[in-house]
Amino acid sequence: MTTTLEVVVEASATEAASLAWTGERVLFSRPSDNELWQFDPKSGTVSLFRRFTGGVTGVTADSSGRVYGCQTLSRRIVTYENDGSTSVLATHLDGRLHNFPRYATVDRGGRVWFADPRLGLRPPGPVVFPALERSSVLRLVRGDDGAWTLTRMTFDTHQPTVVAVANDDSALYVVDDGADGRQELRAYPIVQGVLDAASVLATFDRVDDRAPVTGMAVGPRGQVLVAGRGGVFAVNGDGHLELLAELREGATDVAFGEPGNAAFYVTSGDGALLRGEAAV
Amino acid sequence: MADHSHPPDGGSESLLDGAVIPTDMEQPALSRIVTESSRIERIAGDLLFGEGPVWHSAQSTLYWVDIFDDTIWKWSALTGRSVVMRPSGRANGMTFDNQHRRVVAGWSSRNIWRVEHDGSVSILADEVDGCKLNSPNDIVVKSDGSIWWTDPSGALFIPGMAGADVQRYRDDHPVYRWSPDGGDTAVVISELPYPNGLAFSPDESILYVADTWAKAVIAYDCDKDGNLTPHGQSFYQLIGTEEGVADGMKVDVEGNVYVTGPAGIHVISPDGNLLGRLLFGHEHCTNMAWGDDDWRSLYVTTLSGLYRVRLGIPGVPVGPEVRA
Repeated sequence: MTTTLEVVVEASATEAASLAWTGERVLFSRPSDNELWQFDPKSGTVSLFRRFTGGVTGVTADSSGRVYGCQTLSRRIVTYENDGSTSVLATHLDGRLHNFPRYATVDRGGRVWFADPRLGLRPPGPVVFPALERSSVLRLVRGDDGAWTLTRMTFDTHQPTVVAVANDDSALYVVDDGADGRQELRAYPIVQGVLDAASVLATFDRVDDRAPVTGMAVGPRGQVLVAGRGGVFAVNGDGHLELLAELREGATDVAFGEPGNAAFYVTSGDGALLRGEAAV
Repeated sequence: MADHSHPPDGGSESLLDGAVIPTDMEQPALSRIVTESSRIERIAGDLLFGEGPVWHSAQSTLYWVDIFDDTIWKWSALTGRSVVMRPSGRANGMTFDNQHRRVVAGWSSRNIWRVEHDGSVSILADEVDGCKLNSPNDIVVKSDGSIWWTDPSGALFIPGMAGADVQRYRDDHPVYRWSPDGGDTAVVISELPYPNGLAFSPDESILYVADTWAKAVIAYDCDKDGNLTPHGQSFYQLIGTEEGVADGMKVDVEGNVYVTGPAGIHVISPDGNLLGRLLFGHEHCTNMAWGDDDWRSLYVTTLSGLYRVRLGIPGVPVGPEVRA
């Protein structure tokens, strides 16, 4: 059964790439404009959250509402302070600068997981630091001293691009772009803080060289939703996709929000933010 | 701030040590600048991002930075090379004021700082009108003691540059002037896409600004009180598709302008004509400084190295000798 989506922020000239629920508002990124915007469902107002974002793509928030962003070309995860400043989390893995973070999520313990593909991008400035040989999911953990440490979590991924953590922190879901052009949705059990062997939940074929899946969320009952070509889909246990909301221009990301996770929000390829009732 | 790719292993081909610097697009006037004595000498070859060279005449010492290595270095023919400061807040452009105090563009620290004679450090500017600086890039001191610097936002987005706060607050990429009487700082240029190197003409009647994104050198008339014309004039449009961008810039005593660009260093006559290019092979030139007792040596930083080339016309001195 499909859900009708309500447009809460109109389409823009540029793509809305990612979104996150902060506990009070829906935050969404417009990388080409170097902007983060926020929508307040109580008042129905939309306002600018941050300018000069450095092209932040993926955004996420922890349970306290702290927002994290993926500055893909700058090769780092940042967080936004209340005084308006922007701090950088740990950027080096075993002494080397990590790759091009594209999408992030935060688990219940406040650990930041992010997809760190190589992507073949050309960063600004002199390219002194080569990309890591592996494209992995990495995890940032904040120590008691406030310092972040970075750890590689996957060793079998080709180009991970989207990540989500189960509500009880029992599994990591990863969309991995394979060498054959197909995407795999994998589930890695999280056992005592490390990942066990993955199982493949679904596969997606590329069409016109566009990634079929670009965003993901885990619903209140543990269901996995993916956003991408054609709209938003629920992934059934047998790997089949059930269309939840159709979007001809494509969905770029999906996130649950509002008290009781009563709604899910979707960003679209034409820059809009949409809302659907979470009867899923 | 350099803006082109560099081999990941830092292993660009070295210039031929001891050979006369090769040139192209030569005009006859270049023969007075590049002579048979214009031989290349490599001083350092293990840098990640060389920048900020400046000559201390009383010490016969060259100071420069390695931005990515977060280090300020110095070198003299007598004592060799040693570390001056590490970490440095990713210092970038450096110069000396009229009292021979080193003045530094703090690229990631987002401030302008000065090393006093007792070794202490004074912060001269870190915000203007309540707004943090972007990331000061290159710097020059005028004969009246005023300090001028460019403030693009490169350190806020280039990988590996992160300071404590990478948020950009300003809409523009200004050029600032710090006044020696009272320390007021004011925006003097706000119209450029990405101002980088800057230099005054020998009589200080023109301020040249190299703009990386515009691939050009822009000229502003400057009166004796330091007031600029509201809008700059295009002085030189960089040519070439080789490695290198509009970055560091210096001027010789006859008013020729030297700016980094594709293939190496472009030498421009005072009327804006290209006299020729000093070719640095696959090296990506980032900045330069005049030095040695007669100011006829051009010290050139590249991403990976530091070079010296003797030239026929001396450069405008830096420090107490400036326009003495």
